[in-house]
Amino acid sequence: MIKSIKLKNFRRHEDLSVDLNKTFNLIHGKNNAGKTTIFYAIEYALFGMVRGFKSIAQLTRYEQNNVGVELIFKGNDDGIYKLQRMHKLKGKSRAANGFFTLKKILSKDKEKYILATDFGDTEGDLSLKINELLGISKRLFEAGIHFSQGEISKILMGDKKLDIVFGIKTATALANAFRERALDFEKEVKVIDTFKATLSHSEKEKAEYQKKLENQKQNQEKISVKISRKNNDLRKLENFKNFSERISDSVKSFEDIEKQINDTKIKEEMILKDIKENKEKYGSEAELITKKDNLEKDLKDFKRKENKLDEKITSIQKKIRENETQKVKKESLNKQKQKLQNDLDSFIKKYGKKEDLQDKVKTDKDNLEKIRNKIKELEILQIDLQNSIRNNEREKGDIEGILKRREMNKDNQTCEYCGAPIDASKILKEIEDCKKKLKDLEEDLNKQEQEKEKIKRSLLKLRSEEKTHYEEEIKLNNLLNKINEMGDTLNSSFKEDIDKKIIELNEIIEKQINLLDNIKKELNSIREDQNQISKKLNEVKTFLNQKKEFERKLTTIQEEKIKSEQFFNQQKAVLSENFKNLKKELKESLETVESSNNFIASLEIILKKINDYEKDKNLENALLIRDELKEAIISKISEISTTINHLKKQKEQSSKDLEETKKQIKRLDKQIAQTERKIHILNIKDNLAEKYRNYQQIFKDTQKIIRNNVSKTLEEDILKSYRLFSSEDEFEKISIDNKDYSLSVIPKGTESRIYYPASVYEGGGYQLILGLSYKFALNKIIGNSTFLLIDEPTEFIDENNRKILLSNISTISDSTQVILITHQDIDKIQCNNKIEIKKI
Amino acid sequence: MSFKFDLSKIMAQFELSEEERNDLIRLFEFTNYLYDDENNLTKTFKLVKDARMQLHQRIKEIFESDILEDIGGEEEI
Repeated sequence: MIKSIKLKNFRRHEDLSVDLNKTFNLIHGKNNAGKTTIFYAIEYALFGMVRGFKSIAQLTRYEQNNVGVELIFKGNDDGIYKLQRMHKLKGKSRAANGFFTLKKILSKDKEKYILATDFGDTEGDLSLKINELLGISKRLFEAGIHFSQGEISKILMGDKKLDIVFGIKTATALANAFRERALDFEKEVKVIDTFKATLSHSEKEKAEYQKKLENQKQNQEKISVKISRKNNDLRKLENFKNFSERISDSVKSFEDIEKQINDTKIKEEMILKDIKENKEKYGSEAELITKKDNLEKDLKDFKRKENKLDEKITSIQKKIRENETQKVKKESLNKQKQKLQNDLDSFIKKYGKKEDLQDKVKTDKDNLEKIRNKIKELEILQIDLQNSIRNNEREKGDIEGILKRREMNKDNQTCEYCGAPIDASKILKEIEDCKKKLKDLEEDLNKQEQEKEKIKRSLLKLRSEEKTHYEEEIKLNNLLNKINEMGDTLNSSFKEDIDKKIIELNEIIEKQINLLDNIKKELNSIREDQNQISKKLNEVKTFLNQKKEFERKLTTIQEEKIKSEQFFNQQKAVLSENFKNLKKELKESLETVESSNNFIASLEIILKKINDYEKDKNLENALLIRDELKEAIISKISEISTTINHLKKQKEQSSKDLEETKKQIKRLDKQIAQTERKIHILNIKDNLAEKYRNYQQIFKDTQKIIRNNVSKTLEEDILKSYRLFSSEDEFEKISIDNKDYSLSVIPKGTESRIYYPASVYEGGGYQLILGLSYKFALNKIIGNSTFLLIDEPTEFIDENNRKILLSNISTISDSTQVILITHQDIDKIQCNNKIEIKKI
Repeated sequence: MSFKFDLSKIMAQFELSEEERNDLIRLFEFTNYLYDDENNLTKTFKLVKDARMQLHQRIKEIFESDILEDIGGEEEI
């Protein structure tokens, strides 16, 4: 049941919402108002396209790029669903890109997504869901739900598509599909007997290979036992080989020991010979010891003498050193004296003789005395002159004071003390006198100053002379002192005759050196003798040591000799023990080892020889036994090894054969498994073929059932509906063609009882009612739809029939929602949901 | 006699197990879905080759895949 529908830019509607009730809904409006568009919108929402329109662009409002419809409906599960569908148009070609969402409305504010293109759901998914929720498919919608305007009566001519609507085509397609599948399988199954024959053949072949494998295993087992036995023999022979080696080792050991004993004997003889030669050459040990003691005593005496001479030499050398030191000192003193004399001579040469110097000093002293007296005189004269100058200056100051007063008196002409008037001429005279006195005084003073200056210069000159003479005197005194001093030194320090002393010392030293040389010669002679004695002593000591070494070597060699002899005896015992064991094992071997007569004979000879050896213990016999044993064993080992190699080759071949047989069995196992599997698959396919044949038959029968029932039911229902919708009951019988679903009628009152095609019978009004009846019958037979869309069913129908039709349609709406479009008798139709679509 | 198209009732008339019946109804609905699309039909309202292949594939999925998967998939014989 549809609850509401919203259109957006859908055909002429820009934005339209229509709410529908669950029973009867009447949509009315003027022609070309867009009433039918609502049915198109429902079809668009459900199936994405509208029958009769080639593109989405044709459904889209002029100059708009988006078109959409929202359909809210109640599903068969009583759930409320919202189906939204829209298309976007792009570019000049107006290619449409479609989207849909199907949601379940859980409450006013809550919705749940069921399907959406955004989630990757397809148009097919939506179709199946709509079929599930509303029980309709596109075919059903076209055939039995949507009664299109002007097409209602067309159904009377039949519609081959009804075969699709009723599922007859579906059943046919399924019957065909199952037949084809069955045929495919039946073809495949035909080869099953071949596979069975192959299987039987493979199983037989496998059994044969298994028998062969068993025989090969037994054969291989036998070879293995033989190889094992031969290997045991080989091990025993290897043991004999060991015996042979042990005999060889023992004999070799004997040879080594014998060689060792011989070597020791030779060494012993050589040492004894050396000892004898030494004795002959150097005497007996006692004689050598006595000689050694005497030599050591001599050596001690020489040592004592040597020490004494050494002491003497040291003493003389000390004395020589002392005399030489003294000589050196005297020579140094002589040099000093010479130098002093030279200095004195050069001094006298430079400054004159002592007497001359003394005269010079006296003269200088006299001169100095004279200068000093002169200076004293000048100094007295200078003091007197100084006093005279001072007096003249004082007088000059007094006269200048008087002159100054008189000059003032001359101006004031009064006494400066009492203010009494003074005679001017007197004053002038006094002034003249003063000036004259002053002039005289100044002249005296100048003269005195000149004199003073002269005395001063003379004093300076005299003092300088005094200083020169004084210094000369000091210098001369110093020279005199120096000459005196040098003369004193020469007289006091070099009183003795140094040269004589030196000559005496030289003579003493020479004597001492001669003595020293003699002593040294004596010492060297003693040392030579001492060396001779030391050499002789060393020789004696070497001889004694050599003798001791010979004796030690002799002891060692004798010990070695004893040891070698002991070892020789031990080895002999070991060899005897080896022979004893060999004998025992040879006897055992003769009993156990699988052998040829030659080998047995060889062993018996060896046994006999061992018996002989045990008696005579002859090593040559032992070597013979060893060689014969070795020869016999090597020969036997070679024989057994050849046999083992032969057996191994046999075993190897047998293993290869065994592996090959196993491979064949494995191959056959695989082949059998594959064949069994193939047979199994073919059996399954055979079963499937049988099953599909059954399904084929079921769908053939289904076709018949549907076809038979549909025709009869339609005939009955169409007649019933017609009688309901029409004011007149004019048809005796109605017939539906089985093949094309065209409708024929037998009118009442005709005797011929001929069926007339409904599409040509009577007028359009009747055809429309009959068509509507057919549509209602179709809707009934399809069965699951909860709504009907009827577009203008009353065209061409007279008022009476229209009234009956509309009132009866409204009765149908009790069980099925009816949405009816009409533009006639709106006021007369009883409907509680009249929806007017206004022309825009 | 009144007839209302109901496949389950029709199928009930044949000797089939419950599973087989449901499988056949599913297959029938799928085929109906193929018939709903005009593109899948020839002029004489038969299924085109591609749709027939789809139908065969669906049959394989429903009736064969389990059996053939059990034995390791179908192979050339």
